[in-house]
Order: sequence, then C-alpha cells, then structure tokens
Amino acid sequence: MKVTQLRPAQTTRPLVAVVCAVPLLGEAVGSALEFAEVHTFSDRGGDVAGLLRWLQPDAVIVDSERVASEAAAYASERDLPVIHLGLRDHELRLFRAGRWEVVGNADGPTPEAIRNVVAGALFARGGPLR
Amino acid sequence: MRRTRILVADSLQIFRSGVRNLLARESDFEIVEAESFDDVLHAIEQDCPDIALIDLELPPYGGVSAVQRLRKRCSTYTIVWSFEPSRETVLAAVRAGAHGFLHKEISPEGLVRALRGVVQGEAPLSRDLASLMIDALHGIDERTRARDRAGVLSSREREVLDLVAQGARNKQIAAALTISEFTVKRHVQNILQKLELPSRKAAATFYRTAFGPEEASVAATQIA
Repeated sequence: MKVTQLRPAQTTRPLVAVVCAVPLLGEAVGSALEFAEVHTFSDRGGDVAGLLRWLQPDAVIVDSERVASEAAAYASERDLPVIHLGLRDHELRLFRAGRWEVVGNADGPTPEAIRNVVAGALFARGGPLR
Repeated sequence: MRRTRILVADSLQIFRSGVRNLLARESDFEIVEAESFDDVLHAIEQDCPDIALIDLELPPYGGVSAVQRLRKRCSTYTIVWSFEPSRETVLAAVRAGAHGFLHKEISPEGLVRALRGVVQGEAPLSRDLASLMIDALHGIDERTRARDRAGVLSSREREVLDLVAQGARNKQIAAALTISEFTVKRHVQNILQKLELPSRKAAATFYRTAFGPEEASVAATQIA
C-alpha cells in the first residue's frame, strides 16, 4: 500500500480514503467527490486497518472483497461508512450500522451513484463537514 | 498539434470516467466514449479513432468481436483490456487483430505510457500477459507439429487412436468400429510403429496434444 499524500492537519472537507486494486477508480472517484478531500491508495495487500487508523477518514471506498472485509471490521466500531464497488457484479454496497446493503440504482457503481451514496452516508453520520 | 483520438469502449461508466479524467490532464489526447458496440459504430461515423481501448466484455458480442468488426472499418490501433485475462482470451484478441492487451489494474501512468507507445508501434502487453502469449504460441506450435506427424496414419488408424485416447480397450474399440479385436491390435501396433511411440499411453497423450480433448468426444459417445 502506497501513501500518495499525507493527511492534511486542517481541512474543512470530509476526508475519503479510496483503497483500490484498480488505480483508475481513484481517477473516477476523485472527480466525482468534489466536495471531499480524496486520498487514493493502491491495494497491495497491506494493513488496511493500520492505514485507516492513521488516516482517520470520514468514509472509505474499496474495490475488493478482502479490503472491504478489513475496512468493515475497522469501521464497525467507529460508525464509519465503507463503500464497496463491485466491479465484476456491477453492484454498489454500503457498510453501515454493522451490515452490508446493496445501494444505488441498477446502473451499478457509476461516479454519480458513488457521489450520492458517499454524500448520503456522510450526512447520516452527522453532516458532511468535519 | 494534432491530438491522439482515443475511443474508450467499456460498459462500466466508472472506467470510462477514470480514463477520461486521467487523460484530461494530458494535452495530447482527445477522448470519445462508447458503452456498447452500437456506440462504437456511432462514434466512428464521424471519424475513426487513432486508438480504441476496448473492454473484453463489451456488449453485446464482447471485445474480441468488437476488435474484428472495428478493424473492418478503421485502421485504428486496438487494445483490449480486462480484469483477469487468460491465455486464451489474450490470444483470441491478438488473433482478432488487437495490437495489445492490458490489465484493468494497470496504473494510470502505465496506461498513459501504453497509449503513447502504441502510436509509435509498440505492442502494449504487460510482462505476465506476454508470458501467457508465449505459452499459447508454444501450444499451437506443438499441436501443429503433432498434427503433421499424425498425417502418416490412415483414417481407420486415426479412428482407433481416437478411441485409444478415450481409454477404450481393444474389445470396446472392436465393437465401436465393428471390426475384430485382432484387427484392432494390428492397427494399434501400426500406429505405435508409424508414430514411433512406445505405448498406448504415449499414443493417447500424443492424440490429445494433436487434436485436443474436444475432438475425442465423438468416439467417446460411440463407446458409451
């Protein structure tokens, strides 16, 4: 896992961590979440919980089952939303309140759907601003 | 400066967006998007792209078919990409006329490099995919050589060998071909002698190399 940018000390925008095996997703998600500070990390089998503990994001976006599972384990104790982009089954899943649910529309993980789900999850958590 | 026109054909919008956002930072690329082959046809009505990046599962017929169809209309450089390329899919794409094959897990920098390279005549193929290609080509060579060797067999010997490769005993072969067991034995001896093989087992292996399991199925139904 490669840290591409350090966590800003002071930011008024929500911090979203994107941990993905498909780096191009970071390109797509970054521009869809214009309201957030997006930090992208390559999934190279590293310590996901350690990364999230250090970064303390407001939401996490992942694209693999393994990272989704590790992120959910970390997130369940912190009321942190985790969004899993199912690229093979074209599904968008959200982990909140201790369980996964399929969200979004039939179009699957489109940038717009991701933006809507992240914004909704942040709002539900107590407002999009830190 | 003329910009390189790139057609990104992928049913997943998130990939099209990812490539579009990535290449928007580069001044030498221009992007056209398509989410199906119908969209590809529509896009090339105006002008053929310089490069087409095509998803292996592009609806409705798949990326390999899309490459074949696109090449009939345009002299575009075509690159297929997918999540888990296999030896067969890479070879099929290249046979269809693709100039390269990429993993969807490719880094943004890697994709830009591959796109710039293809217009300079490079074949974008990651190291592991190149190995898959070489394996596949070796398999084809081996098969061609084995088929050439099998040319010395008569059609009856070929039928017998087909059944031997299925694991049939002489009695079963005799029944399937309506000949005596003694004749089967003679055919088997002739096959081993002509192909310079030491045993029935070696002959069965040879047959599978030459003709693959799919061609042995006809005989299997005869035995059953």
